[in-house]
Amino acid sequence: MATQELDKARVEAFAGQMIGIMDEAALALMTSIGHQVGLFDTMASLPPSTSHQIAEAARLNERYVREWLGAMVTGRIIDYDPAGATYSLPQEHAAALTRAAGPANMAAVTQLVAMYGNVEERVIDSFRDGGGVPYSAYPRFPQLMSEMSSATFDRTLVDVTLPLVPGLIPRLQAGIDVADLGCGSGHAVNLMAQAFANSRFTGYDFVEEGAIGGRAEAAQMGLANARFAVRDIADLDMGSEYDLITAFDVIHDQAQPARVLAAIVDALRPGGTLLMVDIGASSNLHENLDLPMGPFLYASSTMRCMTISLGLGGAGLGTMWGEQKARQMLAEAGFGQVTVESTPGGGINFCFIATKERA
Amino acid sequence: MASEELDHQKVEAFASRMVGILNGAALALMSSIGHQTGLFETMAGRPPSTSHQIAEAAGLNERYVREWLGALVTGRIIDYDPAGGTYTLPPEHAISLTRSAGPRNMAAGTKRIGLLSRVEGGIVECFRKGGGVPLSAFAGYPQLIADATRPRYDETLTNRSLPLVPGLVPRLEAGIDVADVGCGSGHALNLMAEAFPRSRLRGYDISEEALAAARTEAAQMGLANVRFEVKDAADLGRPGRYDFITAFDVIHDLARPTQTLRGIARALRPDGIFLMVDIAASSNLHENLDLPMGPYLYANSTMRCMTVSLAEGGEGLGMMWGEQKARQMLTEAGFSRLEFKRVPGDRNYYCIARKG
Repeated sequence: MATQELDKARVEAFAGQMIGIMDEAALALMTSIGHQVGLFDTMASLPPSTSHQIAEAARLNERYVREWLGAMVTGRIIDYDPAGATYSLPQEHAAALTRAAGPANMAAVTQLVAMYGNVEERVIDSFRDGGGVPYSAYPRFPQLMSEMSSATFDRTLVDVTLPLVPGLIPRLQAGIDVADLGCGSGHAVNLMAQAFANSRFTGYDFVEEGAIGGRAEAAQMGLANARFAVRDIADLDMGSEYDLITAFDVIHDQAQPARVLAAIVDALRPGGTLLMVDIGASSNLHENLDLPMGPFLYASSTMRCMTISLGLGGAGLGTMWGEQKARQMLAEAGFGQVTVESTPGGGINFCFIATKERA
Repeated sequence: MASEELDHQKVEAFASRMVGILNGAALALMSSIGHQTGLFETMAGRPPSTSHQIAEAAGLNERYVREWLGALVTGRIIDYDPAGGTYTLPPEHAISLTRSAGPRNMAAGTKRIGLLSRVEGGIVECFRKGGGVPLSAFAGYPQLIADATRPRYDETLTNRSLPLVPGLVPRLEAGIDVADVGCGSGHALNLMAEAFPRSRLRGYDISEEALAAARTEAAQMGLANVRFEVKDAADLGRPGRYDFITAFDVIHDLARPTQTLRGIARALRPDGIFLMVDIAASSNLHENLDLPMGPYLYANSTMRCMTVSLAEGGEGLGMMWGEQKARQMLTEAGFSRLEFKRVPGDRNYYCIARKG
């Protein structure tokens, strides 16, 4: 290779790309801090302000706020006016950075970067020795996931996602039995229980904190039709008692996804439906080249989803198992009919609607 | 604000930029893993290979390597040919990603993202309550700095950086007293000691761990003219002890830089020279808008340099204190003649400071 002629323009362009990567990584960490300490929310409601005014409004240390502003200004996220030494967050940027933005808030997602950075050494060990990193190595994950997914569920679950399943809404209104697998802190279960008072909902998760949070929220919302059980969904071992089973972003994390899908088939009544929401990607790498979040999703898989599964001696499907593999596994589990819908509004997920045959 | 009309194109553009930020952060973490596992070195110069061939050559687990390749292919760092399921690292990319690239290896620097990630929770607390995250929380950082600066010193210190100081090299050859403040693991000082056997050199740092590495290297290089001591940079001992004092990338990290600069001025002989190497930036934010790596530098300042200083109740200058602030502080410390010079491709300035 040493004798090969290098394309100098390509060398320069790539060095520039690497500089961009360093800056972007730095901005991700700064954005995560801005989200956690409420700086974006504070600035969204302020006129152009000095670092002292911003720090006071956010009740934060001015020296830290000023250095953070330096990163945000050179990163073109926040505007700076040297005349009055004032900073402002354009409202078009606030639309992707504040809690008020709901599911469009990407600042919440940047929190995952430091979470991945925290397990970097353990993932490197896994590159060398195989195995994986345990779920317990991600102590912030349940809270981050709940924060990110709750905003999405609030805006889209009842009005957008559930109506994708043909005929489902009238059945939910009439009253059916529903289970949500890997329910986390249960917000989706509670939203559905509130919207469909005649249906009965059960949330399953292997993390006890999730069930506790789910029950507390159900009590606050005055719901009598939502319950939560702590159980590994690979060992569901239920009779055919559900008309609808939902699984939001959880199947690819499973150690034994094939077993879980088979258990879901068993747990559904004939004609029952699995609504599986998972990353909208191809199973073939070359078909994911133009996927907007491709690098982030493969990295998330490497740093969390896949390694957790492998740590349990599992299949290690990974976040990017993709539509073809999902269809194949659903068919092998015994689902006769599977349709795939992209989520309206450009979400990164697909909705897989799989129906158990009536016979 | 709410009643104002949003520019929808600007909203879309910024949402895409945030996607880019997430992807960039992901690629930084993946590049760091590629560097630490030796995957870039394994792939450089290899013909197009499958994930199994690459994993085998690197002695790594294929499933992890394959997922990593997915991130680097969608991130346009590695090329993929679906026909044979083969991956290639273009030589034009390898030159920025492999150890043989020396100071141009940018994969080594991406390791900082993981290290900074580990203190994020502590930094969030500092935003709320002030104070700082102490140096001891940055395990692995001294080694990282040593790895990152070593290739640069090897390539430029004695043949490009030191000759920037008029008349210095003949004096070093003849034999003078030299001190390096915040010498870390001492590679710069050992290179100088080797190049100028008649000069007498002292390295000072507060990290015993770093100094142990410095002494080991000096012994390996068979150097008799260099010594390393634990000493706070603010007190360099008796006045007029040194002809030449250096400080590489260190003044902005200190708890008491004002006191240290005064101490350096005092420790120099009347015709002595202080060479201060630090980030070439303006002290004014609006003049740093086109600085390469501005966001990265401010972020490193927030999450390391500034917070380490504040943790000791220090001044918290931050990495981005800039040239104007440096001029002011050096003047106040007693340096009346200042020259700022640059080396192409180096993001630092070289400030040559004299007392008279």
